[in-house]
Amino acid sequence: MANSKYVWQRPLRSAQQAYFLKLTFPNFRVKAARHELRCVGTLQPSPTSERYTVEVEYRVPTRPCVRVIRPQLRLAAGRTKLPHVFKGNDLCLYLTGEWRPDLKISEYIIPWVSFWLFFYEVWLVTGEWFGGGHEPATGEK
Amino acid sequence: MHSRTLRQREAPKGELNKAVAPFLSLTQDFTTSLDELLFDICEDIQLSTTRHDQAVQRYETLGDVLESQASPFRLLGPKIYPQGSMALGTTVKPVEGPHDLDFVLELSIAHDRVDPMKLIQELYTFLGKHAVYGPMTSLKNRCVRVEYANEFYMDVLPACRNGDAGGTCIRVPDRALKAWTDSDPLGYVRWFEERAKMRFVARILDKAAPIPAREPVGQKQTLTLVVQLLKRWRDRYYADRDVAPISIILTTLAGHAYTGERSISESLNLVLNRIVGFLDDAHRTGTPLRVWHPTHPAEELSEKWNNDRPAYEAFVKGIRAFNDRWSKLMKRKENVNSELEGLFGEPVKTVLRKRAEQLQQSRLAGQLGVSSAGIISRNSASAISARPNTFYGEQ
Repeated sequence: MANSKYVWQRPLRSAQQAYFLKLTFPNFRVKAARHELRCVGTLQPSPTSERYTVEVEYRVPTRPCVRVIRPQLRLAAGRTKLPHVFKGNDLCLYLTGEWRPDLKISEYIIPWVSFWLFFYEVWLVTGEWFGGGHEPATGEK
Repeated sequence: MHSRTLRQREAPKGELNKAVAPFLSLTQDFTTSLDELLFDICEDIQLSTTRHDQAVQRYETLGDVLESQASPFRLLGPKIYPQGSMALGTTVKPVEGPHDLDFVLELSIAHDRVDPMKLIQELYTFLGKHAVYGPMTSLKNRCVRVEYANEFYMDVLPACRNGDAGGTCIRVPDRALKAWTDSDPLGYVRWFEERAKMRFVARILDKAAPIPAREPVGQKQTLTLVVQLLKRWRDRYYADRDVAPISIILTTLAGHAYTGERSISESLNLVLNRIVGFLDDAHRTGTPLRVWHPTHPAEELSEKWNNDRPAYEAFVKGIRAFNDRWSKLMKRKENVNSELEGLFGEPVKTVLRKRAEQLQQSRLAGQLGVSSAGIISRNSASAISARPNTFYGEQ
């Protein structure tokens, strides 16, 4: 992230991120070390959605790595890979600059995970992604 | 979108913002949300407003033609009225092809003064020679079909008053039997409405009255929606097989099993449970379940099952499987979107697409946030507002 085109404030420390995460998402289990943070919690994007256990691993000030642990994510009929994920199925949630290390993971990243999950559940049935986004191969969608 | 009284009532006064996805209400639990999904599915599968209005126009015109000077029926007080799903509000878009709408052409003459075979033949001949209807008309076992290409089939059953039974009972020619068969479509509608405990004014099924205005789903009674879902499930589950249970059996069983619950998902659960119970009871006696017309018990709706055991077994197997799947879904053991799609098919995709588009619009407008459990809702109800983001990576 050091080559970000945006100017940062001072990055939030892992303990600060952990504090804000616990504050907004009390069901999350958060462990913070000196420059690291790991948290696990459940998110349910809508009342009829499944409850997803998600894990965030963060090393200040790099990109927080978000994975869905349970239930195992599935593929829509005829698809060979999940939409908007990195290799290893980390979720691709934002473009550079939309989140920065001086911004709270709780306010930015976690709500985006909920939206990702909502659109994933629709994609699973329709094979279509309605959450918009950026596609590197074909440019802006 | 059609107006939805249920939702409009929920929305705070003056805050009916179309840009905000309407299903994101503040006090949502699983059942309420599932019910909203089911409402939308039912709205997608029922006869569209345009088609409904067309059907009204078509059947009124046909009524005029049957009363005209040239009509052999003009002196017999012909009354034409909808029956079946059109009269009950339980229309379901077929998996393929147009809606099939049933109408009764009732003559005010007792059946014993009429030859049934001559009656249906006369109707067919009259319409078949008609300049407009001629090319669209075909003769079926109990009705004359007028086919409006790409719109709907209008099946007209000629009927006479049942002089013996009285009331609203009628008799209809059956070409295979070469005799009269009994029916009571008006009595059936009254029975169904009683079971559904309609809270609004009963529909008047007179000749003068047009087809009951197509109700937006929000105003429909729960039982009506349950019947639509059963029929849609049937169309999908028994696709390409001629063992599918007929609509009137599903409707009658649902009517008997329904006990007035408000929630559609819970009602479907209970209705399926009770139908399985009826089947278990029948199984103990070693005979197929028998279903009678509720207001005209001489008419055995399940007649076919007495001679066609495979069709009955297919029904038993299907309804048990549906019951199992639905109970699991209600116990939140399944992915709801996938399960609904598995049970009801394409309309579920249509509904989910629409909802996802609405949600995305609201998200882009900055109107959404999430609760501490991750539930997406309007900002005012959220623990935290969602910030703008762009999902990155290949779709």
